Amino acid sequence: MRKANWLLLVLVVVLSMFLAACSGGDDTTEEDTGTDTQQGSEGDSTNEEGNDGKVLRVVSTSEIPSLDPAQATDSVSIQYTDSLYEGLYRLKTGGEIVSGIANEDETVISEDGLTYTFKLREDAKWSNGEPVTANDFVYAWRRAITPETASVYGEYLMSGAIKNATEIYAGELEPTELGVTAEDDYTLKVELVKPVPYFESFVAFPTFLPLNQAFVEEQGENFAIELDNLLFNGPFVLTEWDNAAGWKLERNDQYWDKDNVDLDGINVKVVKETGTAVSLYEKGEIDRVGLSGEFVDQKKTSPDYYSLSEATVFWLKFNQGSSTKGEYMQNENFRRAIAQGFDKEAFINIVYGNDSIPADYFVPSDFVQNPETGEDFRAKYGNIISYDLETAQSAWEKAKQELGFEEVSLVFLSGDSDVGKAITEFFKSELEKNLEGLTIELQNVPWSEQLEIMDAQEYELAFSGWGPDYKDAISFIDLWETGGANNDIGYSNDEYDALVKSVKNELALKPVERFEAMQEAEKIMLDEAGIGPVMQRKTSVLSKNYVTGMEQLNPFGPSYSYKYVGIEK
Amino acid sequence: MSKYLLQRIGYMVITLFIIATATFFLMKLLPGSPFNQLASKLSDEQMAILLSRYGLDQPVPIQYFNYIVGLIQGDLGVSFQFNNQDVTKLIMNRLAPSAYLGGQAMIIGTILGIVLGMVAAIRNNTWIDYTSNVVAVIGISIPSFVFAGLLQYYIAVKWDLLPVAFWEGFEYTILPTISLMIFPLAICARFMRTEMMEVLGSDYIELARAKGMTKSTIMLKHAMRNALVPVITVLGPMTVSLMTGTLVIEQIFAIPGLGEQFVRSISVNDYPMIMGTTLLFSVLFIVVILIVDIMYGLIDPRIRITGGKD
Amino acid sequence: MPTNNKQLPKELFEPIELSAEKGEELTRPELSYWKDAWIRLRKNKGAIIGLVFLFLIAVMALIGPLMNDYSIEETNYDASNIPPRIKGLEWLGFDGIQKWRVQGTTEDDAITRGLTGMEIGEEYLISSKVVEEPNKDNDNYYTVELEFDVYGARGLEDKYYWFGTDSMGRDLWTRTWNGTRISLLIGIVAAAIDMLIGVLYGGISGYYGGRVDNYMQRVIEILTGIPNLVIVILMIVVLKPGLIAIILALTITGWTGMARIVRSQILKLKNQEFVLAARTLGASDKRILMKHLIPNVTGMIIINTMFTIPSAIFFEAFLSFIGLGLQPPIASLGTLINDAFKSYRIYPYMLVYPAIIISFLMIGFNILADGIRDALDPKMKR
Repeated sequence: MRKANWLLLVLVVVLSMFLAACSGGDDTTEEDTGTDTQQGSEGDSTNEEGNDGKVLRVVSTSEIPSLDPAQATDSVSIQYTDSLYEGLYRLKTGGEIVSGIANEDETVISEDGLTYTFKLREDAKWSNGEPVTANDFVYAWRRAITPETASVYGEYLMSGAIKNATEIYAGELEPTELGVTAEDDYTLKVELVKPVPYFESFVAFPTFLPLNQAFVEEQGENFAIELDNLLFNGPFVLTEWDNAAGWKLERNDQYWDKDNVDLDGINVKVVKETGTAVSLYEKGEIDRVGLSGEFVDQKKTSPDYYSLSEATVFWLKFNQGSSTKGEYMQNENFRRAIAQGFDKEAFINIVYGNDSIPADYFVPSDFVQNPETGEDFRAKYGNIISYDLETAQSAWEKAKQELGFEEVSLVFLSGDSDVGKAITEFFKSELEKNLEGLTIELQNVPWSEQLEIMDAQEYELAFSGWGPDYKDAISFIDLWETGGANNDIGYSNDEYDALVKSVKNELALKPVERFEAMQEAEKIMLDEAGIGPVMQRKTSVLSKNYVTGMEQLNPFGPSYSYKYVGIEK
Repeated sequence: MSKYLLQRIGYMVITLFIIATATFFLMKLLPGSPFNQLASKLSDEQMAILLSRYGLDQPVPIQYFNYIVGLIQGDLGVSFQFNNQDVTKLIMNRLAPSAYLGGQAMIIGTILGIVLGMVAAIRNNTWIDYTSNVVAVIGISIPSFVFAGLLQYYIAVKWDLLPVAFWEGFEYTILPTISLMIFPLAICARFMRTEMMEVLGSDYIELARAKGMTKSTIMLKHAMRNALVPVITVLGPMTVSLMTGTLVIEQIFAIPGLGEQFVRSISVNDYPMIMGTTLLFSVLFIVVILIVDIMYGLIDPRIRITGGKD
Repeated sequence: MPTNNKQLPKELFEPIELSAEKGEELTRPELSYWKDAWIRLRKNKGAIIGLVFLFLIAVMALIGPLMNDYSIEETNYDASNIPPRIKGLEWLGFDGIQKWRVQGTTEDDAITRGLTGMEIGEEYLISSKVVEEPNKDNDNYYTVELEFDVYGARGLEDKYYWFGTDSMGRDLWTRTWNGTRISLLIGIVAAAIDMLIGVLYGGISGYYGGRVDNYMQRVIEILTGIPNLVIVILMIVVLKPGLIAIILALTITGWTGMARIVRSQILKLKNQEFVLAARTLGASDKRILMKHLIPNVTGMIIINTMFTIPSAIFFEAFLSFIGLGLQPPIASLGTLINDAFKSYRIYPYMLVYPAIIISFLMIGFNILADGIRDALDPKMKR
C-alpha cells in the first residue's frame, strides 16, 4: 500500500506539473494580450487628455463575422466593410448616395438604362500604395458571382440585374463573361439585363466593393481572416483586431478624401449585455450606446437620449397556406379582425417603450420619394389599415358566420428573446381580449428556427419584419408576389401580381408611373388585409453631445457612415 | 499502477469517442440550419452550394464518418459563423480568459470555503459558524447574474473602485472572480462543515486526542484529510462547470471567453464550433475526474483505486 | 455484585437461536427510524423555524394568488410599472410613490423632462431635489430626484397593487406567489428525481465495485461530459418548451452529482467493520446496501438534495437569462428576478420581493436540512 501511494503521489506531481505548464502557457498569452490592450488604452487616455485625439468609442453587440466584402451579410460586417473599403459610391449620413471611387456627376447611363459607365478617380489607393483601378472592381464582382465563393448577396443582387450573372451562377458561363468590363484603368462599364432603377444603391453596397486581385490571390484561403490578410481602400484602416474583445480603426492616410474624415479613429469593444454597455456609458468610457427595452424606459428622459428612424417595418403574417388554419386565414374578414383588432400604440409602449411609429402600411415612411414631386411614398395612401376595434369586431362576427365557428385557437410564432416573448404576451392578451372566442397559443422559438418554420409555411400567425437592401419600394412590394421567394404567407392576387410585373419590367424607365404602380399595389394588398402591419421601428440610443453625424440611420447598407462622423469637443 | 493508468487512458479515449458520436447526432437534431439566417436572400441553388461547400449535403452517416476522420487527424473544421476561420484557433483564442477566470475563482473559492467550513465546524454554534452559514446561503440563493450585476453597478459604476468590464489586466479580473467564486465557496464551506462535524465525532479522533496529540496535528493530519473526500468529489465537476458556466459572468463583464461563444454557436447552428467546444469541455472533465480519483487514494488510505469487491 | 454473579443458578440462562434476524433484534423499545428522527428534529429550534418558513411560503404559494382579484396573465397597459401600495401600510413605504432620477441642463429642464417623459401631470409631483450639481464627469448636467404619485397620475386612486405591477401592468403579488409555486415544483421534482436515481446508481456502483463500478462510472463520465446546454436545448426542442422539458433537462444529467457523492461515501464505508459484521451475520447485499450503507450516507444525501433544490431553481433562472426558460405568461421566481433585474435601478420593488422569497426559501431549506441530517444520522445518536 505504501508503494502504491508513492506511485500515486509521483503521478499527481507529474500531472500537476503538466497542468501547471499548460496554465503557465495560458498565463503568458494572457499577459501578452493584457499588455497589448493596456498600451492601447493608455494611448487612448493620453489622447483624451491632450484633447487632440478624435477617437470615437463605441461598442458592438457581436464580433465581425467576416471582413470579406463578398461574405458580409450581417449588420456588423456591413458596417465595418463600409468603413474600411470604398466602392463606386457610398452613403452619406441619412442614406444619401454620394461619390466614392467613382464620380457621381461623370457617370453615364445609356438611354435604355442598360449600360452604366463609371469614371473612377485616379488618386484612390490601396493601403499598400497601389492604385485602385477598374480592374479591381471587375475582379471583385466576378469573384462575388462565382458559385464557389458562395456569396449570398452576390447572387441575390446580381442575378437578373447584371448581364450573364444568372448563367454564371448556374455554371453555364465562365465568370469572365460577367457584364462588367474595364474600358481602361479608370473607366468601368456595366451592362445590365434589364433596367434597374436602383442600381446606384447596389454599387454603394459591400458586395460591390473592389478587391486587389494580386493581394487576394496571394492570401488564398486566408484572405480576410486576420489583420495581416487584409488590404483597405476606405476612410479607415484596421489597426487591431482581436475579434472576441474588440478592434480599432484609424484614419487611412492613403485615402483620397482623408481631409474630410473628421475622426482620427474608432475604438470598438464587443459588449453583448446592454446593461454593461449602459454602465460604461454612464462612466464615460464610451460615447454612444444602443438601448433596448427596459433601458429605454430608464433613459428616455435623459438629455443624451435620441430616437432614430429606421426603414424596417414589422407586421403580422397570416399564413393562408397553413395546413391547419389556412381555411380561416383565407377569409378576409378573419384577417381584418386580427389586423385591426390590436392597439399598435400600446404595443410599442409595452414592448419597445420608445416612440416607434405605429404602421398602417408596409412600405416605410421617409424611405423613398416620388421621383417627380419629391413627395414621400406615404403621402398618397397614408394609413391604410389602422387599429379600429369596431371594424375589427364586426369583421370578426362576419368571419364567424362565414366560416361557421364560435371558438378558434391560433398558434402565434415569434422569437424566444425577451422582446420576442413580450411580443407574444402582448398579442395573446390583446387579441383574446378584443376578439371573443379567440385563443392564442404561444410558440417562442430561436430566430433560426423561426425562419425555418416560416420558410416551410408551417405556422399559423407570426410576427416578422423586413428591412430593405436598396433604396426602392420594390424591395418591399415584391415580397408578396405570387410564388415569390419570400412570399411565405400564401398570398396571391392577380391584380397585385400584374402591377409588380409591370414595375419590374415595362415601367422600369418610367419612374413616376412605376412609383405610382407600387403605391397602388400596396393599397390592394392591405385593403384585403393580406398582412397586419404593426410598426415602423425606431432605434433608441444614448449619445454624448459632442458626437456629430450619427443623428440618422441609413435606411439600408451600413447603419452609420463613419466617414462623415465627427467629434466636436 | 501504471497498468491502471493505461487502462484509464484507454477508457478515456473510448469515452471521448462516444461523446463525439453522441454530440454529433444530437446536434443534427437541433432545429434550424446554419444558413437559415440568410434564407430569405438565398436561392435554392445558393443553398445547395453552401451546403455542399461544408459537406452538409451528404447523408448524415457520411458526414459523421468525415467528421471522425478529421477529428482523428486533429482537424475540427472551420466555423460557419466566422467565415472560414479555423475552429481550433477560435477556441484557443477564447480558452485563455475562461480558464484563467475559472481557475482563479475555483482556487480562491475552494480554499476560502474549506477554511470557512473547517473553522465553522470547530467553532460550532459561534458567530463564525453563523457567518459561514450566511455566506453559504447568500452564495446559493442569489443568482449569479444578479450578484454580478449588483457588484458591477455599486463597485464599478457608483463607487468607481474597479473597472466596469473588459479583460485588460489583473484589476479587470477581480469583480468577475468574486462573482464566480461565491458559489464554490458556499458549496465547499457547507460540505466541509458537515464532514468535519462527523469526523470530529469519530473514534480515531478521540484516540488521537487520548494519545495526546496537539490540536493542530489532529485537525490537519487526521480530521481534515478525511473530511476532504466528499469535498473533492464535488470539486471535479464544479471546476468544469465553472469554466463553462462563466457564460453569464463573461457576458456581463464583456470578457471574450468560451462560454458566451458556445451559446451563440448553438443558436446559429455553427456545428463545428459546437462540436469543438463540447469536445474540449469533455476532455477537461475527464482529466479532472481522473485526477480526483487519484486524489481519493492519496487522501483516504481506506480507498484503493484498484480495489473493489472480489 | 461480582460475588453475587457466581451464585446465579444455571437455569436462568437459556441458549439463543442463531439467526440473522435475531442478530439485529432491538433491546430498546422499538421506535421507527423516522419517528425517532422526528422526536430529535423537534428538539432542534433552528430546524423548526426553517420548517415554519417553508410551510408559510408553501401556504402563500398556494393561497397567495387567490387573495386578490388579479390573474397572472391579466394585463392592464394603463397600470404598467406601478410601485406597491397597501391600504393601511402606507407608512411602511407601501405608498405607491415612485422615485425617479432625471438629468437636464438646468434644474427646471430636468423636471420638465421627467414629467413629459413619464407622462405625469405636474399636480402629481410630490417633491424634487437636486442630487448632483453639474460637473465634468456628468457632462455638466443637473441630476434631479423626483417623487411622484403614480396611482393618482394614472387615475388608479382606488386600486391597490400590493407588490406593484410589471411592465405589462400585471399584478406582481399574484405573479410572485404563483412563481413561487412553479419554482418549488421545479426544485422539488428535480431534486427528488436526482435523489432517487443518484442514490441507487451511486450505491450500486460503489458497493459492488470492480467491473460494475468501472462501467457505471464510464456512463456517468459520458453523460456529464456532454455539456448540459446541448442537452437542455435538445430537450426543450423535442418536448414542447415548458415545465416538463425544463425538469427533464435538469434531471437528465443532474443525478450524476448525487451518484458520485453516494459512491464515494459507500467506497469509504463498505470496508468498515459494521459492514463486515452484517455480512458475517448473513445479510444479503441488498440488505447491507439499503439498511446499513445508505442510512449512513443520509446526511450527505440530504445536504446534496438541499443544494439541488436551489440549483435547480437557479438553473431555470439561468435558462431564462439565455432565453430558454419558461414560456410566458407562466412565471417562476427565476424568470421574475431575471425580468426585474434589468430595471432594478428604477423599479427596485420588482426585484425585491421575489429575491426575498427566494432567499427565505434557501435559508429555510438549509436550516431544515441541517436539522434533518442531525436527526437522521445514526452516528449522531449519543
